[in-house]
Amino acid sequence: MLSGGIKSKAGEIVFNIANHIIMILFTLICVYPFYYILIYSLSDVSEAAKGVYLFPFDQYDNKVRTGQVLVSYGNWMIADTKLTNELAAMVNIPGPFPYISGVYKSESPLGYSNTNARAITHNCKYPERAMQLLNFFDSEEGARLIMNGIKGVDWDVIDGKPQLIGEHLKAVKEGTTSDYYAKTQIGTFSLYYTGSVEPKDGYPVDLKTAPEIAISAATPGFKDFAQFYDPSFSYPGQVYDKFVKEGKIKTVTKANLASSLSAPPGDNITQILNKGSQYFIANIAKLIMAENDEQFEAEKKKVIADIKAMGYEEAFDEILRLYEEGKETEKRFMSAELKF
Amino acid sequence: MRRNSVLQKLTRPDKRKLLGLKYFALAVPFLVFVFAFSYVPLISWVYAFYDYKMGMPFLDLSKVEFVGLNNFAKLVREGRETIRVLRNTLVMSSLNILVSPLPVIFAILLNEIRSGWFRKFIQTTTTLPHFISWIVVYGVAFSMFSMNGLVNQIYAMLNLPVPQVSILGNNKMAWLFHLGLGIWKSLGWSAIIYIAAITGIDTELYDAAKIDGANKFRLMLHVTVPGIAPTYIVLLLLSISNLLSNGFDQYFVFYNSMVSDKVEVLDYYVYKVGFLVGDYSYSIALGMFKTLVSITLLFTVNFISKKVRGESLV
Repeated sequence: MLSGGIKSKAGEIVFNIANHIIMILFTLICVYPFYYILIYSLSDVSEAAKGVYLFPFDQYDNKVRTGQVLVSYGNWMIADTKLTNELAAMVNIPGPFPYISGVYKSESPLGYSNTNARAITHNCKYPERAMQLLNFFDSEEGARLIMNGIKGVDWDVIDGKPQLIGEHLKAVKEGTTSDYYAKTQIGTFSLYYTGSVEPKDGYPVDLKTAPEIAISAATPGFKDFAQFYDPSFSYPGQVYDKFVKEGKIKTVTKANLASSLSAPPGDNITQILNKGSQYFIANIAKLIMAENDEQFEAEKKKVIADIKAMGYEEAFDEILRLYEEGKETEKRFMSAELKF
Repeated sequence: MRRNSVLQKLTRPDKRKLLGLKYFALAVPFLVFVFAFSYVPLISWVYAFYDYKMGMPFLDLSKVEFVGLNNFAKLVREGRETIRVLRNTLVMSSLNILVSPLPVIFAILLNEIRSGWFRKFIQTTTTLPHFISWIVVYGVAFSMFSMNGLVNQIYAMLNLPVPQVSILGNNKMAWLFHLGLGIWKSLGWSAIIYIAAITGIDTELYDAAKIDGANKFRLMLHVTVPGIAPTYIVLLLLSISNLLSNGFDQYFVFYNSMVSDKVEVLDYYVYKVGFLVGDYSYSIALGMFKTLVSITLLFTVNFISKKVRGESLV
């Protein structure tokens, strides 16, 4: 009886200690996350990174260099010379898909380019003058004015070559154009310019994109890249131009009105498309994380079957039909049969 | 004197009536609240029988096509999705029911701590997670469990191989992870009601058991546990009626492609079908289905409780 009492006393002490430990542990689990967030948010990011080993950066760099990382972010304005050397440059030529849009002058049928449509409203008091203004913006003089600023102040023709001068040139070189443009309103009206002007002097309308600027801004890495393709080249744009001329990459200069003029699909089709994309979001990881080829094939078949079962073919046909309709609308649009 | 007592007799029932009115007035805001937020929205149930698209005029059914039970048939037609979502829902609910004794154990253990301030400290800190929203829990969990989170940092610090997939994207662990999160968030809070129940147990019972030679464990087993068992059973039965509602926020914030097929519970699925896919009518049908099953479960459980324990829940 007595020994039993002592035993239970000892048991109680063990229990008490264990109990206290469990309680303290659980309290820590409940409180620590908040504490962690607190110290993390209070400390500087780089300091926090120093405090605890954040991420195996060296392994990551190694993987980037050996091409093990499928997608990486690239910053080709400022090459990361710490990571590589000064010849480093991230140049997106020819890019993942061999076509690039927006650099070469594109068509703008009836002033309707791929970007903005310009129109004079019905209740405009002086439609002729509005048209004059739009025409001015689409002339060499007007386009140069809205894109580059005042001749003689922001740009000028020196030795027969149009070029940026003064503060504008300084801003472009220092990369402070946004401040300068906010002050001078250069580029504010650029949306009114259709991109259809081809200046007689052979220079682009926007003088920021002139070869001289590109050459002076080219880093050693960019030069190295360009000279790899042709020793006489000095900036990547020349490589791009060469590829376009050789027909190796395509650039979209044809305005695709039909896609802009296609009607949006109906609710049922939109639902099918949404369902499909939700399904895709939920299942794409299974494909990427497949352990072997057989599993991948099996998952692939399942995904294709499931998406077909949602009526995706029907949706696809409907969108094709709408696109064909858009082509018809384009024909009417171009023959100016369409009256507003 | 006589006149006074007559007056008293006259006014007494009026007074009682007045008091009743006062109590009723106190209850009115809550009745309005329940009515406005739980009953008024039921009007839109009518859309489950129509082919309603978002943006159509509200309750103007003249232009909306009547589809009858088509949306309920869809539950069967899209059986595979329904079953997958129901599986996730039931697994999460069952796991939560399985761990429902944890707050009881926690309350009993906490009650064994003699030092008053220490007990209060633990009780306060463990209820802390209950008061933060799931989106904040996600922020905390992300800083802990993401690829460069604290857990992986510790792995790296100990020179252990860092897992290729973080636990937030670990499909195999998804259910357990969410169970753990649920426990972490609600354990301290759920224990409060049991702590209250323990306080309600007559101390004479403990004294009597002690005189009979019961030690600490015997006291727990034969006095505390039977003392709080009724509370536990009531809460357990209520949680069974909530089998299909695991809540939305937790699964919404932790949803990602890697774990989507495991964490897509019914509440999230209703949101997905209604707002992301845009099939509004079907989402209402799903919601109705959930409500009907829940009500059926509640009354079944209530009936069983009446038969077995002799008292009903509702």
